[in-house]
Amino acid sequence: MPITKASGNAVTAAAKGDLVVGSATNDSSVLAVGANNTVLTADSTTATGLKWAAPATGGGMTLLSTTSLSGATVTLSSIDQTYTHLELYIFKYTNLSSNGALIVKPNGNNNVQANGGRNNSNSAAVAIQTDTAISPGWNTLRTNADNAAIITIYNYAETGKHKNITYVGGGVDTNSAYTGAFLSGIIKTDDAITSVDIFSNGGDFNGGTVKLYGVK
Amino acid sequence: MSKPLIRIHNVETDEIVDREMNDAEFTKYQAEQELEAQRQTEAQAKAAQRQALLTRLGLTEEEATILLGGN
Repeated sequence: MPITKASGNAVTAAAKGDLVVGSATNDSSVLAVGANNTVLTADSTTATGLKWAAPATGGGMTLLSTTSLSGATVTLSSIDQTYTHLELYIFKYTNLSSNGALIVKPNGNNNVQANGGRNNSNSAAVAIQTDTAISPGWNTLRTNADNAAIITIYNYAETGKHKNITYVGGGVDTNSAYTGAFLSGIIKTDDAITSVDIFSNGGDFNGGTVKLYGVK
Repeated sequence: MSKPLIRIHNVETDEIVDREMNDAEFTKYQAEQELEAQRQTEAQAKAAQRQALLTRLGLTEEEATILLGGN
């Protein structure tokens, strides 16, 4: 249906999604609908002062991968380097043996320096780890408990700097010892973190999942 | 004798490969197992030492925590 402008010629909004917008004083034109999932955005450089553009992305977490824990070692490789931080959610993990601690190695190396605290109902101790992987250092692999841990690697894609890492986890071992652990430390490498190894020292995994998130 | 299995998940392509460890991976894996076992043994020895000391002093775990200012 033609639309009569305040002055000048009529414009026609004839297509689905067309918008009639002012393009100058006492003048207007048709702005065709944009691509799916784009949003109307102000832009003074265009004739209408508007354009269709992809919505701006804010912060948040993006799920990069979901992996069932299986075998003796699980390696997450070729990690996208476009995020700021990495978060690994490891949950419901168990192994085939009666003993075993969850162990996480950035880039597959033993180069983490971490201090922290750990409480086990059979004995309380503080874990101090030097040039090793990051681990609660205690068996947390009982088959009928929801053993879980969250590992955060900060600024993982940066080069030329060491990275911070934190571990928060808890679980129950086969001796019914309830364990909670918090570790914080440094990954002593200037390289970007492109892979992560996950394993236990008690044999093959017998269940569990790791979800890897990129954080903006 | 077969070697332990390793699962490699390529996050970029979402391809998952399960295979036996190669020699280098297996050597590294064995070293890691030994290191962790050693670390646990040391932690257990320290816990035992602590308990022995508490017993000698006639203190409970709770009393020791209070004495050292913990919660």
